[in-house]
Amino acid sequence: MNSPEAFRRPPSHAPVIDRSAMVMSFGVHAGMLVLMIVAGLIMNSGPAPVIMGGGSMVSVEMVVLDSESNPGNPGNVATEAGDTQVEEAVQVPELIQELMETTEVEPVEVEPVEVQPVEVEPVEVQPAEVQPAGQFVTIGSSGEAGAGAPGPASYEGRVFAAIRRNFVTSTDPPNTYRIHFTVNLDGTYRYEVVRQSGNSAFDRAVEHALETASIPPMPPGRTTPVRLSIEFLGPE
Amino acid sequence: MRVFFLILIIALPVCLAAAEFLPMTPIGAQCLPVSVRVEGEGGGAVTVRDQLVFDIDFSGLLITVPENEAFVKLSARVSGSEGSWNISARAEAEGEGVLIKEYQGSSLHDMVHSLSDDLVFALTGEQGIASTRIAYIVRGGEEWRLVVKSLDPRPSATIMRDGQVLTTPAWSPLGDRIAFTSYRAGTGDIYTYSFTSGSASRIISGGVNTAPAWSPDGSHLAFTRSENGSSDLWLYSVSGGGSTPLTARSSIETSASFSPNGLQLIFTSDRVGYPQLYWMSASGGSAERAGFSHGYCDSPSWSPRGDMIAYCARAGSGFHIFVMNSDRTEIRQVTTRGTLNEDPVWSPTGRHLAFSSDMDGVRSIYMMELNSLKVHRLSTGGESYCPAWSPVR
Repeated sequence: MNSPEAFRRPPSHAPVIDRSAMVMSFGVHAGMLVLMIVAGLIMNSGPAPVIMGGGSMVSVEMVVLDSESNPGNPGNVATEAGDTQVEEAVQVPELIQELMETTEVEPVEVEPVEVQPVEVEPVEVQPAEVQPAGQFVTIGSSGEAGAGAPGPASYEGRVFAAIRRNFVTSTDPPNTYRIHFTVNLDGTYRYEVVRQSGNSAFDRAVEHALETASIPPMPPGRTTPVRLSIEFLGPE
Repeated sequence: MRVFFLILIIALPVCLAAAEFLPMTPIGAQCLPVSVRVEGEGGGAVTVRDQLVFDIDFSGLLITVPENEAFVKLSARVSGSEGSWNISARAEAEGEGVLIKEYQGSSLHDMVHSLSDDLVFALTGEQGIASTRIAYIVRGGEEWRLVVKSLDPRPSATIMRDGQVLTTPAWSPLGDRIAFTSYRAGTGDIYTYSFTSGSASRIISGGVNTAPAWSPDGSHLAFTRSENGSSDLWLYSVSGGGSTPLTARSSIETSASFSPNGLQLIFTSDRVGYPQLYWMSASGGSAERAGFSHGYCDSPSWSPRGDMIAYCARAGSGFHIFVMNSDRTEIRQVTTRGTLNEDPVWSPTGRHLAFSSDMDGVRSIYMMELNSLKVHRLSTGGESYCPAWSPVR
């Protein structure tokens, strides 16, 4: 237990002031302060000084890059405004598409006394040759989905093909349409929309493909549901 | 540097998430390559192989290729003899069994059709048409026959024979009946032939009644009745409700075809002075012109998938089969040979057409797979026309 006396006892070693050390410490701090002031003056000066030196020195010139030509400019990458402008620019075709839809001319019945039959020569369609196997566009490892994608004849690939068979559109959407597609063991299936395309005509084409797809039955022996994540793109 | 890492942190998960999605571009039907290996003794194996290759290639969904190019390998072993056959089939796709099944029966062709349809379904989820049949009219001298033919080399089977005109057969959606027009009683009446009873009975008379078309649910027949100098569309209730007119015009209204949902009809009318296609509600009312592509359009047939309409039109000096999207966005001429291609009807899956044509001289029945436009002649001998495709069995 400490007695009150102990608090009044003078320290056994009184501090000794070393004047030479004090002077040196002041000098170092003052020098650093001067260096900082000088550096600040250099940074805030106008044109950068050209440092002249001997052959071993490197001349460095500071220039200001144009913001558009500098993709690494953080200001460009981070601004939301830039992204917004791109979105607006891409959505123009959709507006045109809607206008075309709404201005479609309704067929008008023609009175027989006024109109003569007008023959429109059809485009000659030559019977096509059978598609060779090599033309089968696949989602296999060497196909358009890249490495790791299921093979075209695998169950996953055939589910993909079943959906694609009814996916018909000529619309190029601003965004891809993304879904998660799940086939259960009993053959039933469902899909979740992750993101729509931003174009109503394209969205309808995707939904038509999904709703009319004939999904092949699950191969015997499978024990887990199949899940595919698909993004629908416009025409190639 | 700090901003760079911030961007990296934000962008990396986005990039990784995007890479998980399989990209899908729009495209038409494409065929899955299948190799076929058939083993067995005698002519049975040859028959099985030939018919399998035809069925697969005509499916519009699969195509036969050599084994080293195949994504799917089908092997079949044929055993037995005339009247009692066995086919043991196995199909593998990337090492996984997709079809392992035994087929037994007295008809190799029927067994192969079943195998082909099973394979199409297992691989694509769609119904095959190999087991379907086509009915049509054969005229020889002063005799008319209503015949039914399977999609193989076997001869057709006659189900009706008459010294008076038989025409415009239509196969019921359930497959148990065929409606047709007969002039046996002096005027055109509509009969139905029942496969169950093996006989026909008259169901519509009064005036001249032709071109019956079943509603998709089989509850009604649309048909053309000509009386008092005009031809109009009528609707007959199969359950006994009688017939009611759908149109009442001085022009000719004929060749009705139901939309797959049964709510609309497409038909031919010459109300503008020449035959054109129109559609209207299946309960009647005003009609809208369905197309402006040609000066003569007739015999429309709405695809069972609802996406297309086939019809006959005059093109140049001949008549050809055309297919247009049901939203009128695209028109395709699908026949180019011959001068009289007409009566197009869809297969039950909507991937094929049957029609009559004189492309080989005598008017005959042809089938076409619409993806490749491959054409096969079905009928042999005698003038044949007015095809009607059965539903899937």
